Amino acid sequence: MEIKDKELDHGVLKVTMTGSLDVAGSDVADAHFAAIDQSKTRIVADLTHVDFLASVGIRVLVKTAKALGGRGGKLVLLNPNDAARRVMFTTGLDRIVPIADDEQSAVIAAS
Amino acid sequence: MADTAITLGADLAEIARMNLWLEANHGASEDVFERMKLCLNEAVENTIRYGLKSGQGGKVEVRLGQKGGCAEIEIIDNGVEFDPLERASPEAMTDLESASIGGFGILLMREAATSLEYERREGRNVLTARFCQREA
Repeated sequence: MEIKDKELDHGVLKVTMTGSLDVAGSDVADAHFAAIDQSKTRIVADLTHVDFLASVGIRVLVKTAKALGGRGGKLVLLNPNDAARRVMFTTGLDRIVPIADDEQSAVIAAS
Repeated sequence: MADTAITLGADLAEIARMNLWLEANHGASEDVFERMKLCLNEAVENTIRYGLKSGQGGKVEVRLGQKGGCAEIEIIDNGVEFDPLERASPEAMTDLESASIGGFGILLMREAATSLEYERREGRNVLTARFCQREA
């Protein structure tokens, strides 16, 4: 799992993940989200290059969304693949965390 | 069945090796492969994390084969007796505040597999998962 951060407009931070949100990748992602400056409360998680999402990855995303929500912020998911969307649908993640298809929509949803 | 098999130790890092093995050997459609991979990851993670004891010879064997035109996987471990199918699936999340942050593995396994069966066989847990092609 490789992760890169990029500042977008309106104080939104884009976190781009490349790899699998399996056990190993989710550990990396969890540590990365936990280390982000607490002043960053609006985060777009770019999942375009995430090729696999398991329940351990759902756990990281829900945990992050809850933490941001608790600080008055928001997590938005950007462009998950079809398999990841099915996992989100089955678990209900798509009902509690916004999913955007492009970066502009994601920034608006996070702002 | 057992056209091919892999044996994993009691270490979560073994899941990466399992995924490479599955990718090289599945011979199924993309849909069936994705569902097998998800089910296997959930089942094997659960077994290694909770069922096996590191340093005490804990092992998981995964067998991959075909039966009746469907892919079939057997997951066999020598850990503590545990039937994952006896556990109730959690409800899907409906709001962020009340959402549980974990426990969705069994829900995803049930959704991914066409059928799941558990048996205790000769002191081992045996979980059999079938994956038939779904209608488009």
